[in-house]
Amino acid sequence: MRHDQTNISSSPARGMLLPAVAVAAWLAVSGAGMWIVLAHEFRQGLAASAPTAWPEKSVIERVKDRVTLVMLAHPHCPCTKASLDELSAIIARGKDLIDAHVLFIRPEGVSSDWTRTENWRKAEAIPGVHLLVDEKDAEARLFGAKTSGQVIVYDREGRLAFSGGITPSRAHTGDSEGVEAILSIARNGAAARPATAVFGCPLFGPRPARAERSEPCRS
Amino acid sequence: MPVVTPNRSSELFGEHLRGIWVRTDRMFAGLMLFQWFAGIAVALLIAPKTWEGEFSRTHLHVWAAVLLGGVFTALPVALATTRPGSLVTRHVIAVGQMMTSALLIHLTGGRIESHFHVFGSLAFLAFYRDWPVLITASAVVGADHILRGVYWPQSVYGVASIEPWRWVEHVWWVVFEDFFLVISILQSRSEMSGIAERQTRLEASNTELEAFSYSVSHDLRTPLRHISGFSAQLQRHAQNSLDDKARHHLDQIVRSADRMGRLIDDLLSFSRMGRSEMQRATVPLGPLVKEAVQDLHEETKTRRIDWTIGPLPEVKGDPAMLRLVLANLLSNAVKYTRTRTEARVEIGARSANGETTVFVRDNGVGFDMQYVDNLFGIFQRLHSAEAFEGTGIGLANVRRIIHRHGGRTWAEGEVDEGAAFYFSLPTTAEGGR
Repeated sequence: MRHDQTNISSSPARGMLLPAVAVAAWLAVSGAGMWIVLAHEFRQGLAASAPTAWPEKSVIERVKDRVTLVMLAHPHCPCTKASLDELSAIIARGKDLIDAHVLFIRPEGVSSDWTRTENWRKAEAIPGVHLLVDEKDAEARLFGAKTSGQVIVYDREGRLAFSGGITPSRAHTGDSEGVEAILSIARNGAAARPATAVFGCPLFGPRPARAERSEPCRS
Repeated sequence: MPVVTPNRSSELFGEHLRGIWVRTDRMFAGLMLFQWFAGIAVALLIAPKTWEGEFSRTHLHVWAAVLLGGVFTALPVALATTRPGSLVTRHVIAVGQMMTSALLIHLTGGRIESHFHVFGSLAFLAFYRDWPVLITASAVVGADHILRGVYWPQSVYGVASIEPWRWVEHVWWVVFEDFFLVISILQSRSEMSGIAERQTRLEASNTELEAFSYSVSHDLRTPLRHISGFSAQLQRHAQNSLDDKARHHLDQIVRSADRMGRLIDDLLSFSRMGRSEMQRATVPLGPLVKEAVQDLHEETKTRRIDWTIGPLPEVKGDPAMLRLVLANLLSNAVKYTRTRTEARVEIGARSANGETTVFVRDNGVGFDMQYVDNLFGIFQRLHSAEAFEGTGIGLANVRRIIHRHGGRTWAEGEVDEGAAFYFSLPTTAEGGR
């Protein structure tokens, strides 16, 4: 004799009405909440309007034997940690093919150590990557970047080859088309998708003079 | 071999399973509360603020951890508290746990390590030994992947354009784990079923044995009464015609028949104690002890006994049976302090860890602790009948009654230094039979 079909869990239907209503309401609220969180996770930041040719006014010295990668980063943006993780993966896979620079913005009026954050230390730990403090956001504006984690790649001839993000969503690491595109450019000179969505905090604060604003990094 | 009734076997199996469900519900209630706080801590640690240039505000992750994590936790914990062991509770817990997994993965930035929370949760849900719970949990994972695959394919697959069947590959690993967990659950239930059947057989054997001992004891009474009665008559009528040796033998026959009669009566009362229906009531122990002390008045009126009765609580149980327990313990205390010029008997109680423990301590002759295991055995005696009268049924009855209440009995003592007898009862009415 076995008891697998025992019906000891059955309850009178009338006693189930209140739990059923509570469960239905709970499922609806939970589902809606999760949907909102996911919708934010995939809300893209404003894309860069990067110059099609290397801007000679840049303080970065472009090398000609490798592709040049520039990442614009907000020192405090939590989403940018994922972008730096992905940059680390790109550098590891495209060793000797990419000359990478991470520029941390430093708006006017903030303290001198405002940029020395976990993001800075994370970037510093990536071998071969050059770090730069972008005083008064000058380089970010030169490259037309608006969102932290924006990556711009110029080929060996100084032509714009890629502009976009390298994470699949906000603050999430993992396979992404941006990473594959940059590695393809470094190895083969071109990529199927030269532009991808960028996910991160807005580089610039809400000032009246600036019309364009990006969605804050929320997930 | 005793007959196994399917109903009793199912009942025992159900009781066992229900106990597991209730325990697992409570464990999950604790776990989910812990996960909620852990989620908030993770959010505060990883992403406390979001930034816009030089301006910052509280990150959405913190709100999600507090509010959404709270929603995921609230209903499972509420049901585990108000409806532990019910079908709806464990399925809601399964859904809540898997949604918590999704939230924690999200809060940690989709780290591959946090995906192990999904697999750990499935293993924990297997504690219920109810495989449909795993199906519910896996359905949540499947629905999450399908919906993400449709609306935000990058979140699951890293690329925007993927084959529509790719979600199967992800859900497959959940199904892979489920497969082994379901096998484990079915094996475990089969073992539980076997235990229930064996316990039913054991109960049936005990019932048969008790019926047999009752019947034998009962049937022995009549011939014994004849032996006792005719021996007494012989003693009266042939007193003068017998020599001293024959009179001594006849006295022995009468005394032995009397003793055997008492043993049979005790055996019958012991047997009745195991068979009688238990009444359930709230029993105040204080008045019960006072009554038991008063009942001993005839034996104690010529002695100096210092009674110390501490505060005694109310317990759940059968009033008549508990009265017998106290009467036996106090009677023993009085009996075994007989050699003391000033006897001390202390009765007290304490409640802790879901049970009430009552003790009766005396300064009597005590006992050697190496024989403590014999104390509660039927007809077991540590002192000779000449020194202290009795058949050795009292403590056996105490143990049987307390066991029927779901409690425990034990004793401590030292030769000539007194003894202490303890019994504990669950504070809830559960556990009695």
